[in-house]
Amino acid sequence: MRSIAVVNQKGGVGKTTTTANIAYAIAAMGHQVTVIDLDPQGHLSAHLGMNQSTQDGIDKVISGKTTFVNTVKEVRENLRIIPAGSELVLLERGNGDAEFGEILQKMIATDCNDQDFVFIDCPPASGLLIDYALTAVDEILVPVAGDYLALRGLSDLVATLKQFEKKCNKNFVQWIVMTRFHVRRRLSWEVQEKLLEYFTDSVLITPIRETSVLAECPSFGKTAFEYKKGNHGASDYESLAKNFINGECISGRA
Amino acid sequence: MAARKKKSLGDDPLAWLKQEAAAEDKPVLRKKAVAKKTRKKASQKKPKKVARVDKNQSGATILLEPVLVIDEAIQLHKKLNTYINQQDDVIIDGSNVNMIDTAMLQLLTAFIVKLKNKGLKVTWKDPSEELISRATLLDLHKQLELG
Repeated sequence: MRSIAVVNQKGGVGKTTTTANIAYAIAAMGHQVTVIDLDPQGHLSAHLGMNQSTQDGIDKVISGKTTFVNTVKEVRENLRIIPAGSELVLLERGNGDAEFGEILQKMIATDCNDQDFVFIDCPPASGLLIDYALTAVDEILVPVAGDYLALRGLSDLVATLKQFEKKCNKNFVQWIVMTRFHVRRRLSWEVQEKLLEYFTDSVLITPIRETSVLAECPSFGKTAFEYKKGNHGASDYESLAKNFINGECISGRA
Repeated sequence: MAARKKKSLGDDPLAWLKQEAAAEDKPVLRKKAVAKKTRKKASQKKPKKVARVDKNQSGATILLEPVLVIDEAIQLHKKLNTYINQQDDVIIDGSNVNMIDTAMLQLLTAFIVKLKNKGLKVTWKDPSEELISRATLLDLHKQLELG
């Protein structure tokens, strides 16, 4: 079982889009996938068509008020979700306990031990919720948009990760996916070159091209695969899913 | 001579990683060690890979890279041109292709047509679905012999 946090402190880079679509693609290949919405905005739940206004979520599971079984929901074949929950925002503001990260880690190890992949969709922040996610997982998937500010966000994230690894004596397996990629824009290619310069063997082969489909489909509670046939978003995420499963990076790490 | 293209990326927000790695004498993020910075002229700058070539006894196998777009057209054109004048059959491995645009498809089409006119054989090895679907969309699959 692989546990992955989809994380980037910069907002709008495609964390939720990537979590929803790559999870769907991997599930469609026959693997068992669980996604955890750790973002108080609850966008992952909305993306997958779940009305979570009255749902208990991961907020109550890690604070011990309910159980995993009571909150997990099957949303697609082979794909299930634990929604965020309304109290997650309180945990983000500092009402949480440092042990919640270990509780999340234990939950994944015991209640998800029959799963092949567990993805955690993280909020665009650097607070307690990120700490919980990093405590719970072995791998990091970082979506990076093809622009300068995304590189700055990545720089901040790398600093956070280094501190965390040092503090917790942990070494994450790190993957980078380029998102919102404009093929005809030189800046996108320069950002990719910069990523390859610093993160050799970590940049997954398939960049996710910018397409309106990825922006439209969440409003219908659908992934790109279900929204419109033959769109670039779906084909890119399908390729990305294969790259991720097989560890296929631009410089050939496997 | 064409003017040197202006970079679109000015500041490097990740530069501190190299400085830190140099200070600690460690590789950046446990990956390959940071190469010693050497001054290179613009003409010596290594171009982006668009294809790798393996020579075998029956001819050359050209392995296409995953992303093939117009920005790399000049480079691919140069690479393919080296095989136009040789008398070897060619195998094109398209298994890695995840993205290919019209310009690159046209380049490959012209390459295959030229080789065939010289009486040489061109075969495809494991062309990806993306490659086949793009070629079919532009009705180039017949000239490209992608079936």
